[in-house]
Amino acid sequence: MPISVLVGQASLPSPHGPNQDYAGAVTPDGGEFSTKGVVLAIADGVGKVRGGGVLAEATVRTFLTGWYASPETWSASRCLGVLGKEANDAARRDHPGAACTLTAAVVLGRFLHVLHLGDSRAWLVRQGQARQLTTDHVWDAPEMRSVLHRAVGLDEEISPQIFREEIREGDLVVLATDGFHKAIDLVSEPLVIEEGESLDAAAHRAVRMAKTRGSDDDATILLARIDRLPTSEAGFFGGSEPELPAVEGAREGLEFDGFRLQKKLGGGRRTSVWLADDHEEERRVVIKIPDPQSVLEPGVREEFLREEWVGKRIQHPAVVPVIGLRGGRRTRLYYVMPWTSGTSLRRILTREGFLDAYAVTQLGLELAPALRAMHRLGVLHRDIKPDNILRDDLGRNRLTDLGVAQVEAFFDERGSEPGTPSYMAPEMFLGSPASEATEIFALGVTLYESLTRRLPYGEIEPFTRPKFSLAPPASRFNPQIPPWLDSVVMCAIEPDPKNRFKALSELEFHLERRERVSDQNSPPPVDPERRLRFWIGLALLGLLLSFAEAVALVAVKK
Amino acid sequence: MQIKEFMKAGHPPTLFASFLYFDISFMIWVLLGPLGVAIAKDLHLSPSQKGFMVALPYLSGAFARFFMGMAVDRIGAKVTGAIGQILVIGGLSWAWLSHIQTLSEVQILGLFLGIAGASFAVSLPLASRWYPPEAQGLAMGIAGAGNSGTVFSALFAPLLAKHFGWNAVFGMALIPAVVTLVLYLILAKDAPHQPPPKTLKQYGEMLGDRDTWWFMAFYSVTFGGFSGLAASLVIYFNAQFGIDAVHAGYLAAGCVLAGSVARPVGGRVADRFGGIRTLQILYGVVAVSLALVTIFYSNLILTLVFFVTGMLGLGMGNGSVFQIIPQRFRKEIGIMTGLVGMAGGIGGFYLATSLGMSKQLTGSYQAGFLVFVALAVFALLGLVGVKRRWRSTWGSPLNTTARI
Repeated sequence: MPISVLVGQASLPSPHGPNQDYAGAVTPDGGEFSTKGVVLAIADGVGKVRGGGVLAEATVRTFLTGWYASPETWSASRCLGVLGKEANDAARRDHPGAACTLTAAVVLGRFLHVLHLGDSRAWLVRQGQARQLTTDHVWDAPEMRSVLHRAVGLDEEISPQIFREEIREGDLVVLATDGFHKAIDLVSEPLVIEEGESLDAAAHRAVRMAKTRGSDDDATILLARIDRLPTSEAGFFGGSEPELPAVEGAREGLEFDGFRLQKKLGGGRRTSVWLADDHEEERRVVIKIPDPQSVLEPGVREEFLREEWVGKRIQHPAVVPVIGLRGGRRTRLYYVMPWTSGTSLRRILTREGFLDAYAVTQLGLELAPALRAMHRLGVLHRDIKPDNILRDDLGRNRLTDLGVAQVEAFFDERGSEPGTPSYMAPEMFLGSPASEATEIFALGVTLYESLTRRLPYGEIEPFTRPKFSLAPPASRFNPQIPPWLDSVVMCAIEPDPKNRFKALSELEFHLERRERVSDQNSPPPVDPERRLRFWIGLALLGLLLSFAEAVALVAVKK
Repeated sequence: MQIKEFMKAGHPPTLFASFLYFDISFMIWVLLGPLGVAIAKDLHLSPSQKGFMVALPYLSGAFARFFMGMAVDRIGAKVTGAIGQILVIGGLSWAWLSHIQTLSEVQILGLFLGIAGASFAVSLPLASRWYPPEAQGLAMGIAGAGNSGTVFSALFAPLLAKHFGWNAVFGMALIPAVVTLVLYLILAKDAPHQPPPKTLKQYGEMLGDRDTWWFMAFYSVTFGGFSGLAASLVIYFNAQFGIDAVHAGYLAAGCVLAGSVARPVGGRVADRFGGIRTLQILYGVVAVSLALVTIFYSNLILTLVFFVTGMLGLGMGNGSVFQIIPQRFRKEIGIMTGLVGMAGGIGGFYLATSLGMSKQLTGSYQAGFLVFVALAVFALLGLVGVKRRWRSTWGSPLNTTARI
């Protein structure tokens, strides 16, 4: 079930002039925007002569729409940072000389993400107790009490306070400008919402009370009550249809929801992929179905829904997308992808041997931009390998299988990185998280394997900590590889990320220009101490053996 | 994890107590093997009776491991271990004081000795629960390194039996057993955070996974081979080459030593090159070595050499299997230790019994070894399938905590 937040607001101007405060909130009611949450923003314009109020209104409006325009795959803090910067740039450009505070809060999932600049304030009220979340950006000296040192439009660069707080159902979020909080301190004098009172009415009551207490500034308050939060990740991704049952007994000829399964194309340990006919839209599609047994395991349903969610948001010609179905059509747990002729690169390599240099160059030039597009959205694929690349008859390559993709918006560092060990960069075995560098590595290994049908560092088993010594150049196994391509591939699979391409664009550049990578480092020295210990160990073992035998011989001779 | 971090991370006294408990228990568990020659002579046992006698502790040990594993979860590891040790001490005392004379009495003792074998199910969780997940593999490795107990048995038991009689050895074994119990009671402590007890349903679920069965099979070959040979070698050298029990004990000790020091090496090699690849090579080595033992059965030197290489392979295999298990079955490690440990015991029982029966029915041990070689080859082939299935994507993005 989606989140439910009730909002109320009120604002009373100062006796001296027009209201320079502005407050706004957006509560989308389901649909595409529900995964961006609910946004609240409040701004207090500074300097009436120079259009502070106009700036405050423009800032809040732009912020609210900007939030929903920002990618869902970006982390909330990244979105807030970018929006804050844009607000500041717009302020300096369009409203020179004016400034305003900005305190914005987003209710997203279980968290409240806050962006704060200036001396408006945000509080979290839980069970009658208010806690101030923000610190005022004013100079401390008493004579300079109301001089802002951070605000929108004040400096070229801004450094807003961006943080998140965990929230619970029943919490009340309060945003208010200094016209309110200078007169009333919510921490010592909590706001009580009466039975049956609407939030708007409560807000009006609050600002009237601030005026009675002597506030002669614009007083504005924004209230948001958290009535319902998603109880699970499945609830977050699944939206209105989180509890779909699994497809039981998937087999050729099975029909459901207007689809008919034709042929099994493949499958991993937990899912199977099928070719199917879509009778409703009269097209061929590919359907990914999770195994009904594994759906019962905790986390698997969420994983699958998340995979679908990400798949719908990556739109690039070289990435196989997820097709959105007409609302209500789906009654089971599966998702649908468009069908293209072609097979996995893995099958092609197994059946037909390695690809020629031209084909591999094209492969790199098609996949690198796709990966860059994904990275721009804050998504790392993390499982680049021939098995996950589809190649059609015309030699066009597409990435597929976002099963272990990392989405910036949902990521908290913990646990070990998923992936396929033989394609994982060395630093990942030492605990480093996935990054553009590890994606470059995986792409490099894929290119190498496509050229030679061998893995540069051999097949790496899971649960190992292998040592990455120098890989043999691809040309050793495929003499038709031109030296420039050899050097490009070798640079991509460098064990030390410092010696690898710094960015995918660099890799693309060299592939496009057919240009050799210059100043490649000499092979890393073999660690002499390690080898010594290995041989000593072996020698001791041999000694032990001989000793045991000697004892035996002596004993027997007696 | 660095050594210093590791030492601070858990509870060293418990780790030491667990190791000691397991080591001495292992020594007692296999006691009937080295004493087998002396006992068989006095009681006039046939080869299959001999085989069954030394194998019985493994069988009872296999089941005891399972039940003690369940007890660990419900009444605590320390208490379970104490009860186990008291039962074993009781059994040894009875056997010594009542001067047991018949085969059935020895078999009853064998059942009690099996409880000592179940110490595996106690010492591993007792020690490892003190440590954070990333260090648990190492903690289990240390606590479970008590394989050297078998060496002591093989070295000293026949000698003591020769001078004092095999009955007295049961009494002498009481000394280290009681000392260990005292130290254990003083030093060992249950970790503050105990995972919830495992239900039979969970065991059932694990058995639904193919990998579970394969790893039970793998360990029943490597540990079964190691422990089965540990039990049978003294009798083998005695019966095959006419060597007296004491010297046979020395030879057996040498072989078993090779197997027990090889265990950590196997773990390291698996870490570096991959457990599956390592196990494939090791099964090959074991199969070839034991096959050569059957071919060169009349040559003592060669037999010794091939037993040593075989034991090296089996010992390393034990280490490799236990390098993989905590990582592959991270969440269900308690259940897997139980299941796999049980399988190991059954393997040992099988090998020791089959050698005895082989001698009884065919007049030589060859058949018994060759069947075991076939099992090793079967395991090797099974690894091919596991390797193929493991070639896919690992891990789930939901290992991480979501920001939702």
